[in-house]
Amino acid sequence: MRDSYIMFKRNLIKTSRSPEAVAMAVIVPIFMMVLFGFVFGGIADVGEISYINFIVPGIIIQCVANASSATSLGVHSDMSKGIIDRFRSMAISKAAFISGHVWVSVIRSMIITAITVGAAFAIGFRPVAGLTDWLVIAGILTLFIVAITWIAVIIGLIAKDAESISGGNFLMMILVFLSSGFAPPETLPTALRIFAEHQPMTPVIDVTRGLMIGMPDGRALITALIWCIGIIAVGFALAVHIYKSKLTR
Amino acid sequence: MEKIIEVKGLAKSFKKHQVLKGVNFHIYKGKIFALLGSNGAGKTTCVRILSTLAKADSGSVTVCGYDAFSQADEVKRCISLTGQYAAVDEVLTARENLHLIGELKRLPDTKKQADELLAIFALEEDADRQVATYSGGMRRRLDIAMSLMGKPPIIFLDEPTTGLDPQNRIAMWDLIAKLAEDGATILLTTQYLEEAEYLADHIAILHDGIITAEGSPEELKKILPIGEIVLEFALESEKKRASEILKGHSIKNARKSIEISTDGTVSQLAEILNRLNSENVQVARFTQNQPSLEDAFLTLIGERK
Ligand SMILES: Nc1ncnc2c1ncn2[C@@H]1O[C@H](COP(=O)(O)OP(=O)(O)OP(=O)(O)O)[C@@H](O)[C@H]1O
Ligand SMILES: [Mg+2]
Repeated sequence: MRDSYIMFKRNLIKTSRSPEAVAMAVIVPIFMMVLFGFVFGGIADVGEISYINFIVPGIIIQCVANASSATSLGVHSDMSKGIIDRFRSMAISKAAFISGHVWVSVIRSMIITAITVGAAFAIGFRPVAGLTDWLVIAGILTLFIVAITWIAVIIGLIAKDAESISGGNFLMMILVFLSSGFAPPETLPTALRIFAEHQPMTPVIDVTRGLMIGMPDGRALITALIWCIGIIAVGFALAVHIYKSKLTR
Repeated sequence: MEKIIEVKGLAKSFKKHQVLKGVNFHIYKGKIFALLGSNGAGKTTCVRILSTLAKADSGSVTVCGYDAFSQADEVKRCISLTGQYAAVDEVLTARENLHLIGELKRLPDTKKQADELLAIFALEEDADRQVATYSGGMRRRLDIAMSLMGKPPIIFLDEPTTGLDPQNRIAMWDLIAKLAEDGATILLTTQYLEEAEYLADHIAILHDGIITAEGSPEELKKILPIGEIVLEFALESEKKRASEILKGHSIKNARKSIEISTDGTVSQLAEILNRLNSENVQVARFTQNQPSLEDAFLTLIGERK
């Protein structure tokens, strides 16, 4: 535990040394939010709610997905440099290295999410969610952040170089667009619609949006929970397995 | 004397490539032991196994009385490893790097030890600058400083002087000698015979997966040809003549010169020069070289055949 905390502190310092990385992770999605909100706001027809209210959950997910690549990069650069050998030659818990990255990543993504929501308010986002709704939203988004962090850790562990990490991030971005985040899936061609309806980001977005606009979606909540918890469990086991097998060469 | 490290029949392969084929050696407490070998000889592999980072295929390694395979954590507590490639965190400052290690080792006096090491390694002025801005030599010094946090009794140094300029290399030698004086046991690897000779109490030469020769520097000097002279000629005919006259010596032909390995004694050198002189051979240039380790090996292996 103490080891994890020390590793966490290390990664926190490192993150604070490159504020531009965090800034980029926030600025790009905010830019997209403004762009989508104003440019497509007029033509996009998403039912009775305004387009800006519609896309905020998708933008949040996009932010989180985008920010996770910093975690992949951090894990990858530690693994590919001598520093990992130094940690390994010391009697410290094996899990500390990974959990140090995970904690910082989760906190960073939460901050980014908060900033994004704040920015959304500034440009006309008007949710009707009450306090309990917000707590549920916070809970589900936290779970999603943890889930995506484990995926990011795995990408960082298996990536051959920084390019493959941006490749992974690109796939993640495509996943965001092929969800219910920016357009109702019904408007997509059949194959893409089926995909969009059955991928993990869609239920997370639906739950969040439902609560924000006052139309809670119970089924989406359950699906989202199953997805997130499933990914966390599998991702955790897989990451630990890959980490160990990488080390015992 | 107490054997603090004992390695028996160590073997390790990567896929089909057998790197270590049964390495045996032991290190006495408080001594400096040099593992000497050319590129790819398996020095790093050896050190990684001893420091529990890699698993051996067979053989046994005992460090501080603990088995390196089954009691890895106990072994880790009494060693420190400075790998071949600097294991420093570039984003952190030197001081933060040292504090990180101190905290992970739960030292009661992390700050004090860090300050002392910064002073010893002449890093005080740059201590609060990010390591990314450091020169290679500064990184290497910080790297070793990090390994010394907590005053480990056994210190592994994988090529500690590679990449240092001559001045820093000498400083590093002094420091390593000082550590041993203070009671640490040191295993270092090097490609330089000269370095092993200067520093080590005991040298083992790793070649072809086994220890081909070992002993104190004095003992090794007797079996390794340590001097090499190079004779350059303006005329091809003179070169031929010299080769004729010096038949019986170990001679390598180059384009305009010949290289003769010697045992480094004055008498042998005098004998060679005398013979050339008495036959009036025109030598354009005469130089004496420290042989490269590779040359020493080749001669050593050649002589044994
Ligand atoms: N993880 C690995 N996978 C495959 N082969 C490896 C691995 N590590 C080392 N080798 C091979 O083992 C051999 C010995 O490598 P090692 O790094 O131990 O040599 P070395 O004596 O330290 O050399 P150098 O002086 O260049 O550092 C080399 O041929 C190398 O290619
Ligand atoms: Mg090496």
